[in-house]
Amino acid sequence: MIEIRLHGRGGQGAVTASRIIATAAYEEGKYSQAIPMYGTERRGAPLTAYVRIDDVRVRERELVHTPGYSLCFDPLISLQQAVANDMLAGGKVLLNAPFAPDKSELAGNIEIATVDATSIALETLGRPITNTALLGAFAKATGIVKLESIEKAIKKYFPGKLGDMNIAAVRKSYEKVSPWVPAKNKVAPKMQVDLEVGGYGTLKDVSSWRVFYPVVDEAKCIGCKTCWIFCPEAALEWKANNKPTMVDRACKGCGVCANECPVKAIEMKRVEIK
Amino acid sequence: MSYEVMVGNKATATGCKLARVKVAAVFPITPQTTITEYLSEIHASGEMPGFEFVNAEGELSSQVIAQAAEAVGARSFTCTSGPGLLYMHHPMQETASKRLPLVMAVVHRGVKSMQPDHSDLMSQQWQGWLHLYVENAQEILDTTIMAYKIAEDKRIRLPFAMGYDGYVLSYTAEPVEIPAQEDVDAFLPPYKPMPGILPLSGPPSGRTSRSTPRSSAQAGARATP
Repeated sequence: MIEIRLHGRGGQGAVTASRIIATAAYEEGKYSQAIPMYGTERRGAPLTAYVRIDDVRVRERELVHTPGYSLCFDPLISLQQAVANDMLAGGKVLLNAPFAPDKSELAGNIEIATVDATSIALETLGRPITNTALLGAFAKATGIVKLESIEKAIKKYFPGKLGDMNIAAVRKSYEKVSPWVPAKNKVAPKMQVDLEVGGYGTLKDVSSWRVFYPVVDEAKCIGCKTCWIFCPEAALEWKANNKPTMVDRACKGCGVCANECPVKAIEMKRVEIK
Repeated sequence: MSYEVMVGNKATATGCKLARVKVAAVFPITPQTTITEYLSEIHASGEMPGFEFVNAEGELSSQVIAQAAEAVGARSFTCTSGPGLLYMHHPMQETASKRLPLVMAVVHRGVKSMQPDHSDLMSQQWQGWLHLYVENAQEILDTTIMAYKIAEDKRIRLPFAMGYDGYVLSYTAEPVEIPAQEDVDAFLPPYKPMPGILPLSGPPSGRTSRSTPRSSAQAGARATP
């Protein structure tokens, strides 16, 4: 039985990706199961999903505890050891990361491959929804499912033009994925950052959730406080000069402020990952 | 026959569609919510002409609406979870005592927690409903269709509750065989309502005791047979 664990954030489509993999495997005559595991769903919160693929009907209903494959849809979660923990010996970890796999600090008896799925998603879909942009890489690197089956499954989930855009993302990541490289660190350090779901912006540090962050152009800003009213996380502070500024630990990068600003004084800039 | 990788809740909604349900009265509650969503999508798409989708204001009313629809001869459906089932406790008893073949999906959820456990449907054991507990998404779809066949049988005439684990089955996607509509139609003929065992206005004894006050002589006569 092949067991896969998927890491992502609410809004990146990790759960849909798990169902697409399960559908693609079933298209190839295998039995499959896709299990989502999340608590109070909201955009940006870390979540995991699991997939089982087997030649006979899967009767097991437990969550996957020792996966052979781990997929990560988020560039910042990709830096966390939790992605590579509890793997089978020689387990394969596919990361959405803008760097080569030998740069990854993840430890254990694992092999790592990377693909810059966020950039692919932004080029093809225009939004950082990275699920399909990692699935092509998954098909190429693991060979568990064929590219055609993934495309067939995507057409079922996204009919019409949206499906074509997602298939373009899949094909691009199929070409761009790096080869497997054994992890340079063999001993896993203590897990540095938790992958908990709970907590709210003002109470908990969510700065690692962002793909984009708001930058205020103070020359354009008219101080109307529209952004402050619409911010769902109370992540905008008011400065003495009547202009807003981002609260670093509270902003999850949703972009509502930039969208609501009547004079378009807020620009969403992409977070740089070294 | 076709195949689809679908979650347990979608299998329930697909089963309702194949069974040609006429009225679905539901109130969303986790982990049953997506059944409500799939049913409303089916209603909005117009795939099922004559299908009425009622988004009730609570579980008590959803049970009453489904019960009333069933009483006037429409094949009806409702579904709930955990605390929602306890909230419809009172009308559930009436559905059973009127012998209405209503089918309800109970997506198990703990009464005091969000975790899946059977404490919700187990607490309704003596309500007069048939219970069936299913194991996977395929059984959910098959049982939804089967439930109408069993409940509407003249020899049975009882409401039917199908229980399956929340999260573990409701949100897990797995391959499901979908039977063809003709096969389901051949198996499950249109619902023909049967004459009620009890008059819908209630048992006659209740009315007599209220309309004719008992005299002391009658009371004495009853005390000494």
